[in-house]
Amino acid sequence: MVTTQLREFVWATVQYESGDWDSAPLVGPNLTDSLIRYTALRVSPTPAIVPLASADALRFPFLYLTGHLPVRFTETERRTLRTFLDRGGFLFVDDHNHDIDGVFHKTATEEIRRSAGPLVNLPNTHDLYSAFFRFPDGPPTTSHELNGWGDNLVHEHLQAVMIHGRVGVLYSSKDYSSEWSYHPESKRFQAIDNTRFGVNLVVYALTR
Amino acid sequence: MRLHAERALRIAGLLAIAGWVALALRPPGTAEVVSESALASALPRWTMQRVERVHVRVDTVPDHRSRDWLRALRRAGSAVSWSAAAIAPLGLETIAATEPAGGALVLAAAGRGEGPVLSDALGAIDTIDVASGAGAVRLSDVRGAVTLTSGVQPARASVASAPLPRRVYVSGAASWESKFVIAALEEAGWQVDASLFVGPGHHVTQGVSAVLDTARHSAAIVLDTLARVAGEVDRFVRQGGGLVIVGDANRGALAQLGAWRVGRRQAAPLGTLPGDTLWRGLSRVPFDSVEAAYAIPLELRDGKAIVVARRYYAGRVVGVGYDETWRWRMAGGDDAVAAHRQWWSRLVGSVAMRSPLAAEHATGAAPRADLHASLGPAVTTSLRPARIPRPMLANLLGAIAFAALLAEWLLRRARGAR
Repeated sequence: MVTTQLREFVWATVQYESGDWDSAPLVGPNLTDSLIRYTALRVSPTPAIVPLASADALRFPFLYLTGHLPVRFTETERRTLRTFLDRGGFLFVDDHNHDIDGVFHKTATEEIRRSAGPLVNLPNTHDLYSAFFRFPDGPPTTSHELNGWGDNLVHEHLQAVMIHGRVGVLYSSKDYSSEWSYHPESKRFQAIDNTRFGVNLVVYALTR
Repeated sequence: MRLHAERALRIAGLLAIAGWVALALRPPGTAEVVSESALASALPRWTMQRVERVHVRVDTVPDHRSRDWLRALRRAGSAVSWSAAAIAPLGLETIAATEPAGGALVLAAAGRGEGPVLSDALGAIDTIDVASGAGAVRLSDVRGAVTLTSGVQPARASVASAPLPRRVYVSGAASWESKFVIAALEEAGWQVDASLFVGPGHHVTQGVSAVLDTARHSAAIVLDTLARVAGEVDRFVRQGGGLVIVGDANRGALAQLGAWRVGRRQAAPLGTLPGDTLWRGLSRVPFDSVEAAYAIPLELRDGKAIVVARRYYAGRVVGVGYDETWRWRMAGGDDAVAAHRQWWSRLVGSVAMRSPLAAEHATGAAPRADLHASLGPAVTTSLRPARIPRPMLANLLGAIAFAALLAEWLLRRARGAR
């Protein structure tokens, strides 16, 4: 449901034609809760779902995209994404498979390259890692990485498409979608709040 | 017959000599009238031979050098007057923009008549609607001097090269509005320092994280009510800095800097497009009770001021009621990004600190007024311009005398007389 009069930050999940865009429905509420808990940002308590093929996508400068299945954008979706990025929007894409040989990774990176440009490794000293919480070693690891699931790799870097000196698209192979969904198999959040890195993403998007 | 011719030639020669002598002995104090085309050659002569009264008939205003020369002659004792069939009254002023992109604001005024044309070194730029007597044109790029021409009369003014403005300081809470205001200003060439509030004890900073200072910054933008910076901002504006107060920031600690009160927030009606310039976003706060003695509204919507400006000590303050302009940029039409960028850059440029020497930024020209200032008002005269200039007349008389006497001598020699 898209509303037009929200003055706060809204966690918006992208709905795209192909694949399973709604594979991580708890990420929005969990991250929204963390933003309200840790910061004084004006945050909408209700996350949004916005179709990428709709101009409504331009009403949400922060978009979150995830899934397990192949990602094939329609021409309208590509056009909207280009406009979104040209105007200064921030797109966070997370591979819910945690598998660089998986179909999501292959197709999503191909679509990003086609719509936005090539992905490059983001240095672990980037402002993103100190925007709010400090992550001196770069992107925090996830349970899927540490448990050897998916591609059995610990990815040292996130990848990004830089637009006008800012991160326009941030791509993660680390499966934060599972980590932030508080799946039963991921218990680490009980010791360390694993959504803290998500707070950094939002603060970075709002300030850079 | 031959004797008669000799006598006639002798008389003609003697008369010419008499005329030449009379011309040479003619005392100063005579009047001369010249047309514009003869002015350049007449000025040195009037300087060498003092003339009591001169009158110049012109079609266009003489150049600066000629005007100064005539003025000097007047101060040296000659009575100098001028008249013209019709010289269009023109006024032109260029003010260099205080923006990184440069450009100029051109103010032009002209009398009714032929439509004045504005041009620069590359050619015509625009015509000025003289129905109202004056017009303003903002030029993003100017090559050479700006010329305003009406009929044959031009008015020329160069555009001063303003130094690049200093940095801009942005203060507010982390939000889409602050992010996109910073982005727009950076895209327009401004260097931006920022301090954005994220949570208690946590600010995200950008650029030079130092205090607001006119030595470093030319303007500040405050996007949220933050009492922490109020004293700093007040001092900055008193010292000549510019200030843009956005939305609800006009309510709090900075309210004393404005001469207006903030009304209730208005939400755009359902269906309003984010690019609608009446809203520049989808909500706004109008300003009530704008004190006319101190502030002027720059944009009115539904009878209420949305953008207001005032002077505050040595600085300038603008209150902006639009506080969701990021929606205009993100979801507006194809030109929304450029329009948003330009709007913010001009807004900041309008308050940005300027050099106290106004002449560094503005140049102007008003030819007819200058002529009045130099030589006084036009006068009518019954004098006519001499058909033959005096030096030429003297030479002519000398030549006639020489030729007549030579012919008379030759005739006498031809008949054997001495």
